[in-house]
Amino acid sequence: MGVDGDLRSLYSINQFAVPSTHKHMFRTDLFSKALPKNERRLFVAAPDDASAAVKFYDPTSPQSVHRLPLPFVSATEPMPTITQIKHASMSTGEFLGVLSESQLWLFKSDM
Amino acid sequence: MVLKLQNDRLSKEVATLQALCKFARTSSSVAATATTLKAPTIVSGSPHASQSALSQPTHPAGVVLGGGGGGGGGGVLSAAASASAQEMQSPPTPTFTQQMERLLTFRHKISFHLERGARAFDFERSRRCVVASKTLTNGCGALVKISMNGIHNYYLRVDQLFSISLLDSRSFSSLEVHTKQIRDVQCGRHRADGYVASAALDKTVAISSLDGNTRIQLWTLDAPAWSCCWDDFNQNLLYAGLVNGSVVTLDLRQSKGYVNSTKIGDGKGIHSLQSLRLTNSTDGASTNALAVGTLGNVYIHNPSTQETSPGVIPFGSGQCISSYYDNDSGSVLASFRQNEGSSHSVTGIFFITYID
Repeated sequence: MGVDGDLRSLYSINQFAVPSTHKHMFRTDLFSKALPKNERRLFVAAPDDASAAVKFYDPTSPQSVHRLPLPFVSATEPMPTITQIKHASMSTGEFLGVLSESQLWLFKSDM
Repeated sequence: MVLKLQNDRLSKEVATLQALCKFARTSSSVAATATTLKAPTIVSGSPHASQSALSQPTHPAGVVLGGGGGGGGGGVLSAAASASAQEMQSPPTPTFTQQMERLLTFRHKISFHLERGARAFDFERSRRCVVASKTLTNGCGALVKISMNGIHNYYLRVDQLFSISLLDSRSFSSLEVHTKQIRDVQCGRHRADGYVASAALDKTVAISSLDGNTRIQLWTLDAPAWSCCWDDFNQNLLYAGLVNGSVVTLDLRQSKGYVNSTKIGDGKGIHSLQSLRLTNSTDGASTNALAVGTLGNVYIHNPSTQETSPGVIPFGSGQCISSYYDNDSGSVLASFRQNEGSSHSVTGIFFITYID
């Protein structure tokens, strides 16, 4: 099967902007959460370096729907620069990992 | 008339209302008076309302008044009170924001200091651990394994080579894999062998074993490697994305060199690679493919036929800095930065839905 031609008509595109102060490449994440009636909802997790947090977006809306602040060990530490966000479902639960240049935070979902 | 009292505090008001309800049989104007007493937990009225009230569970702080004839005023009382009672019994519908916050509540469990140069990590699902990259003081790229087995109790298993201590997390040892910074770490979604692929700026891609705590394979490539991924449908294959815009196919059974190399799109550096399966919506035929994120665009590449789609994002919005393919939804997420080198930039996130 050729790739060219099979794909172009199969996409619809949505776009929204998020503020970021990141100087380097970073990796955002896209994941879905289960809802009642076997539905799933997509979310985008993107870094917000200005406030040292991860912001979640509903891809159909430009507004962030939730904010997850990163806990600091010490107030004297510089603001972290997030390099990667990753979501994973495991047998022990649902996890979100946030990596900065010097630290990794692991979060566990309540749901 | 059935009278059931559950709250002594209201007994006085109930007596008053009883009298009012009796009067209501002949005067509908009482209803207005009764409602001014603000007794939402009192149900009174017609025989139908009486039965209904008896069948309803009694509110802990309420009073149920049943029977007593069927005047119009009593019916109004009953309807108003029933609505109030129903309102108290059923929880309020959460707002959109509340629903989102509930879905997205993540509680912080633990943090790890990686000192510096950490650029990538991945979850290893079968061993319930996280593998992260870091840069050692000598500039070498190293991998750190963090076990999540005891994360609920803030307890970490200590491995022989990848030892990590919660009390002194700055002094754990790590596995030195590359001579320069690691740019990508991939454990593979469906792998159970504990193999971890890493791509680095020293022009190499390595395979390390989490069980053996050692590097088992190293390929030297033509250019620095920015990204890598396992083939989700062929356990022997993995791919690397290079800074010169090439996708290189590697085979675990061939340690001497890569299988093939293909230039993607406009030849810009490849920062993201992901394995996916394409299904033709007309004949149902499927094939393995790669979502290739370069600095210019996102492409779908078929490594078997070496064919590559045009850029799937038709409008330019600066530099593409990351892309991610979500297998569950068949969607691609791409992030763009408008001004290269700017520390204050706007990042656009493009959401592309695969319509099957």
